[in-house]
Amino acid sequence: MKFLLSAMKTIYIISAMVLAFLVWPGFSASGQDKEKTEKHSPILAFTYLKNPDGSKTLSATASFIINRQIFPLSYCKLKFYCGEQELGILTSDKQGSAKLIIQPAVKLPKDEKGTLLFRNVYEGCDSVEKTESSISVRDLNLLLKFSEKDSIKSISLHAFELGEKGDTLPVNELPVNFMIKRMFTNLKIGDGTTDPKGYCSMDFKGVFPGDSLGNIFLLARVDDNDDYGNVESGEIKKWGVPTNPVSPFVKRELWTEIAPIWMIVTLIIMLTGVWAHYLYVVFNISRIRREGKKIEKLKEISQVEKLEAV
Amino acid sequence: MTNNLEKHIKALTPEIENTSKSWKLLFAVFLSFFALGIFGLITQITKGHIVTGMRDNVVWGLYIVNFIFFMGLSYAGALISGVLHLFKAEWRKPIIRITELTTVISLFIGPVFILFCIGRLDRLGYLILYPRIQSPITWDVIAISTDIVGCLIFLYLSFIQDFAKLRDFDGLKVSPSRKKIYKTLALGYYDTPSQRHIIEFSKNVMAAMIIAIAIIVYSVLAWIFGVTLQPGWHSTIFGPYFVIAAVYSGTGVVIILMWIFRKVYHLEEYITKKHFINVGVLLLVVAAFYGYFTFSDYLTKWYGSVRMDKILIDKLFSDFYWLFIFSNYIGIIVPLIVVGFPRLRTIRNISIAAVIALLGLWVNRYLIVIPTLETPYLPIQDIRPAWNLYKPTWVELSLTGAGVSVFCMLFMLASKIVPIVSISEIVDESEDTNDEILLSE
Repeated sequence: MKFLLSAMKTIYIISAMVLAFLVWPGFSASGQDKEKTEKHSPILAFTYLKNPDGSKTLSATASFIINRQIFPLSYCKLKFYCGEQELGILTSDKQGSAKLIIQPAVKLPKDEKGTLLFRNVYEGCDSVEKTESSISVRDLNLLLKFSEKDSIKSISLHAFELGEKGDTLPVNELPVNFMIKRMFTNLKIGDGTTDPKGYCSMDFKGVFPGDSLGNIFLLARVDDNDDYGNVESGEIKKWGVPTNPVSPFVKRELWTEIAPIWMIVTLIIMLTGVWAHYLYVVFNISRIRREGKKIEKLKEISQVEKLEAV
Repeated sequence: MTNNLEKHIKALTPEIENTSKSWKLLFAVFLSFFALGIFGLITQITKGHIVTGMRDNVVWGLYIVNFIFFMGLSYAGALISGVLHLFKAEWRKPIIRITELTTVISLFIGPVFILFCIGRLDRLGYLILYPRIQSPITWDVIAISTDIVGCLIFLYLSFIQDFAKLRDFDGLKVSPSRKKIYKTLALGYYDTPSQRHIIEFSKNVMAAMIIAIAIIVYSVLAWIFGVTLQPGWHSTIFGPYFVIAAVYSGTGVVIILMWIFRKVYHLEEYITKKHFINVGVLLLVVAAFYGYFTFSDYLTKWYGSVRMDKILIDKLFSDFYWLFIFSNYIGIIVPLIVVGFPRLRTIRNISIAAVIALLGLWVNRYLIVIPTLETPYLPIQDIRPAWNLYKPTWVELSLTGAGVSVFCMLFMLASKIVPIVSISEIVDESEDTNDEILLSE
C-alpha cells in the first residue's frame, strides 16, 4: 500500500513538473524581452509618388532590426513636413506603414530653385531612437495624348515643369516607361526618352485583354528619378480586347441553380439505404406486435376455458 | 428466479415507484438554472443579439461550441453503444442504457443551440421549403433528422423487453395508467423465441446503422467547418478528427454518468471497477488517437507557414495560451497517465480523468471556433477592436448552463419512467450464470 502511494506521488510530481515546464511563461517568451533595455535605431523608408490625377502620395514605413530580423514599428506617430510646413501626423498600421495623400489644390512651399523638400519624422520612444528621412523633388507634369491614324495607335508624352509665371519649361532626356495597369502590378509595353522639347512617343502594338468593353488603363511613368522622384500619368482607353473572365469557381458555388448530379445521386443512395433499413426494422417491430396479439388472444381463451372448467 | 427478477427490478428502478427528497431537491436546482437560461433567452429575444458577445467578425460563439459539444456526446454514445452491441461485449450490459440515453438526450439538446444563433428565426422554415443540396447546412439538417429517427428506434428496441418486464412484474407499485402505458409500449412482447430473435436481429441492424450514421453525421458537421475557407478550418483531417474528438468526449461523459449513477442509485453491484477500467482503457486509446490527430493538424498548419495560419497559431499560443495548454496537453496527458498505469486505475482517478478530458474537449471546441473567427482572411476595415474580439456574456453563459441542466433533468426524468440499467440484459446475464452453475453441478 505504501509503495502504491509513493508510486502515485512520484507520478503526480513528474506530471506536475512536465505541466509546470509547459506552462512556464519563458516557454513561450521570445528573445525580445532581453533586448528591452537597449535603444534600437529605426529605419525609415520614405517615398514620393505623383499620381495621374495630380495628387501626391507620401509613403513612410518605419521598422527596426534585431538579430538580422526586421520588426515593424506598428502604431507609431509619423510626422510629415514640406519644408517647415507640417502636412500632418499619421499613425502607422500594423506593418509600420503610413500614407499621406496631398490633393492638387494644396499649395506647397518651394525654395528658390522650385524644389519641394518633403520630410518624415519619427520622434522615438523609450526603446527606439528618433529618426527622420527626407526627399527633395521638383514638380514634374506629364501630359499624355493618344492618337489613331490608319489603324496605327500611338501615345505621345509631353514632360514639363511650370515656371513662376505659369509658363511651361520642357524637360530634356527624361527616361519614361509606358505601361498598362494590371491587378497586381503594371505591365510594361515600351519606354523612351524625352527630346529637347520634352516630347516622347511610342506606337501602341500588341493585343492586350481589357475589361468587358475593352478598356485598359494606359500609363506613363517616371521611376525613381533624382530630380522628380516617381511620377505617373495615365488615361483609360478602349484599346484592349473585350474580355469576359470566367471564374473557375462558378461551377461549385453555393448559389448554382442545381446541385451537381454526383451529389444528388450520392445523397439518394445513402438516404434510401438508411431509411430502407429503418422501415425494415419498423416492420419487424410490427411483427412482434402481431405475435403478441395472438399470444394474448390464446391466453384469454385458456383463461375462459379454465373458468368454464371450474 | 422471481426473487432474482424482483431484486433486479427494485434495484434498477429506484425512482419509478417513489420520488425521493434528494431527487426533488436536485431537480429543483437544475430547474432554477433552466429558469435563468429562459430569462437569458427572453432578454436575447427582446433586445436582440447585441446582448451576446457575437459581433461582425465572430458571428458564432458559445452556442455553436455547445452545439458541436452536445452533438459529439450524442454521436459518441451511438458509436459506443453500437460497437459494444455488435461485438457482444458482455461487460456492456450495465452501461449500455447510459450510452443510449446520452445519445438521444444530447441529440435533442444540441440542435436547439443552433436556434439561439439565428437572427431571423422566421426564415428557418426556408431550410425545409427551399433546401439547397449543395449547402453543408442542408446536409446537416438531413443528417441530424435521420440520426434522431435512427437513435430513437434503437433506444425503443432496447426498451421493449424492459417494458415487458415492468408490465409483467406484479410487485411494481405504480398507478394502473402507468401499467397500461408499459403494456402498450411493450407491444405484446412475451419473450418467445421468435420475438427474441426479431428483437436481437433488429438491434443488430440498427446498431450497424447508427454506427455508420454517427460517423457520417459528425463528419458532415466537421465539413461545415472544413469546406469553409477560414484559417484553421480548411483542413481535410477535420472529418475523422471530429469523430475521434466526439468519441473521446462521449467516453468521458459515460464514465462520469457511470460514477454518478453508481453513487446516487447505489449500483455498486452492477457497475463495478471492471466497467470503469474497461471504459477507461477505451478513453486511453481514444486519447492517444485524439492527441495524434491534434498534433498532426497543428503541425501541418505550422509547417505550411501560410500567413493567416501562422497568425492563428501565434494567437493560440498567446491570447488563448492557458486554454490551449489545458485542452491539448492536460486534457490528453492526464487520462493517458491515469489509465496508463495500472496502479492508478481507481474508480475515482478514472472519473477525475474523464472530467478533465470532457472539459478539455469543450475547450477544444471553443478553440476551433473563436480564434479562427477572430482571424479572418478579409478583415473588416476600421472595425472597432472590441467588435473583433469575442467575450461570452451572461446571456450565453446562462443558456449554456440551461443546456447542461436540461441534460441532467432529462436523465433524471428518464430514471422516473424507465430502468436506468437494462433489466432484460442483466436478467439474461444472471440466468446464463445460473444455467452455467447448474450445468457444472
